[in-house]
Amino acid sequence: MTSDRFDELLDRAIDAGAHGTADDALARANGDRRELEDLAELAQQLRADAARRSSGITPGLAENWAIVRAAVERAQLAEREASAPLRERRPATPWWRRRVALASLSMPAGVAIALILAGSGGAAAATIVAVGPERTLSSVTEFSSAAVHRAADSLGSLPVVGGDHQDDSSAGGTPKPPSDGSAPPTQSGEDAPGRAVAATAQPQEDLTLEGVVSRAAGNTFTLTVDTGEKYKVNTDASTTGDAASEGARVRVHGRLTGGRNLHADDVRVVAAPPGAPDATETPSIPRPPDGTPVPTKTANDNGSDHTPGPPADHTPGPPADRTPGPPGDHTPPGEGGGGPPNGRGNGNGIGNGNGGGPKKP
Amino acid sequence: MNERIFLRPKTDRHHRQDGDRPRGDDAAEAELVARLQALDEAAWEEAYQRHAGQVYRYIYFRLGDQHVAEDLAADVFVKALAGIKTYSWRGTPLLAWLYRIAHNVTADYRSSAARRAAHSAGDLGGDLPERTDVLGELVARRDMLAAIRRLTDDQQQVILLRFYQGLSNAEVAAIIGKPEGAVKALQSRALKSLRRFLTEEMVRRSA
Repeated sequence: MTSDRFDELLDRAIDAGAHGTADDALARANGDRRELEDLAELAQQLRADAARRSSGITPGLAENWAIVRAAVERAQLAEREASAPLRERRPATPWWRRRVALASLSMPAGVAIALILAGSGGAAAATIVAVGPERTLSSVTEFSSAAVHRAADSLGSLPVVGGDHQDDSSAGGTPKPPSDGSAPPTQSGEDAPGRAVAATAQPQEDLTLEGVVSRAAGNTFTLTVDTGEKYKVNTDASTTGDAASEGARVRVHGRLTGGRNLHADDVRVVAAPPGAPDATETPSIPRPPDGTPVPTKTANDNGSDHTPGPPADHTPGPPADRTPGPPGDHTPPGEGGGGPPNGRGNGNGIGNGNGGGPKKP
Repeated sequence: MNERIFLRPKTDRHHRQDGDRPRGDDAAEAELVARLQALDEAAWEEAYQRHAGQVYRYIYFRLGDQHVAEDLAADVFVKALAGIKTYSWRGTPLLAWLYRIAHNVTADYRSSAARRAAHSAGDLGGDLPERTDVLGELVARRDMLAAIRRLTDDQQQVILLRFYQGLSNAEVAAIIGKPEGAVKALQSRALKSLRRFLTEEMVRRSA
């Protein structure tokens, strides 16, 4: 009997066995009937084994619905932001204008200074050779004066960007409110509680979360925050702070690496597990009355000049407001409330690109 | 070992062995997919309630760790959410797509050496009862799962999808991206290997 025929007969015997008619299917098998019977019987035992196992949703699985629901909410939020009218998301003064303003001021000025220095030195040397030391001083003075005048003319012809220089100063200071009356971009989440909406959409955001440790195993544990949302926290050699023990209440600062996976940079025990002596005296994080988790935007939030900000203070920020903000409250990266995109995520915490994602059928 | 599958549906409703499934179900499934693509939270809850248990079972049988299986099952839905916009429903059940994601998630998990160390295989069988009569029971559940996990990746998939999830050959073929003939061959080889593993285990215990 060929292999294909054996496979076909076995498959029929298995299906027939499910309906109690295996003998009919096996009647066509000659020398392999015994083996076919054995394998078909094993298949029936596999089915029986499967039937003994519950297919219902376990309590843990029911709890994990919160993870999926949160991902759905983030996706909804990201979609709403993506579909917001472009004008609402555009800042009053685009970032590139500020860049151009700074560059247009600094480049000609630098060139002018270089010309003055190089030109003066070169002219002086040439003059000394050509006319002798006695006339050098007056020649250098004449040449330098001419170079300075040319440089001054060059500077005077520079465009005045934005109509005034307050705009430029805002690159490192307080941004101006947009002319359309929408909320001004702010430098950090602390300044504007509503900015948590924009902060949520930032890729690979830094978070500070507080919750209870469970399923601690090796370098991972599950952190359940007060709203019931669960985060899978990964630690490694670079993680600082305390060891997270089962049942302990900890504060974790780290980065979302996809979904609800959080890579911890720092772990601090806020309260020891029940029954254990509380060795920590860390004051608890002030929390909003509704128990909302407190994702915190940190250093990358400040300023529109894209330079690294001050060190993250790891203090909790305002409560995350998952409702969309008012029109004009959406600030794109690089302006006010958002740092530059780092390309490490899609901003909504899903689809972390680890290769396990769905393939289009 | 084929750790990752990239596949197109190789079956349509004419070849499906559960062809008695009414067209109304197809319409309902298509509508559910449309609602999922619209990020309707109620639709996602419905899909989770309907399929999370099966996805969990599939992962649990392959990994043997209840907590990990629960977390990865949720991860399957999060990844499905990420890809739902590009998913096009062509008559193949949504669950088949979820199984494919579950397969990839499981493969990713297995390939992670750190995680494998953290969750050692000591949890095989989980809360299953201890067997009492080794020789009298060919397929004690604990041994059966351990034996299944000794199969090749493709063979595991076929056994779990055919007998533990109750899918037809055509549906299994659509999920693993192989023709039905290959599914039958894998099924045949898997059963032979399982019989050998179980026999070895019986001999070892009786010695």
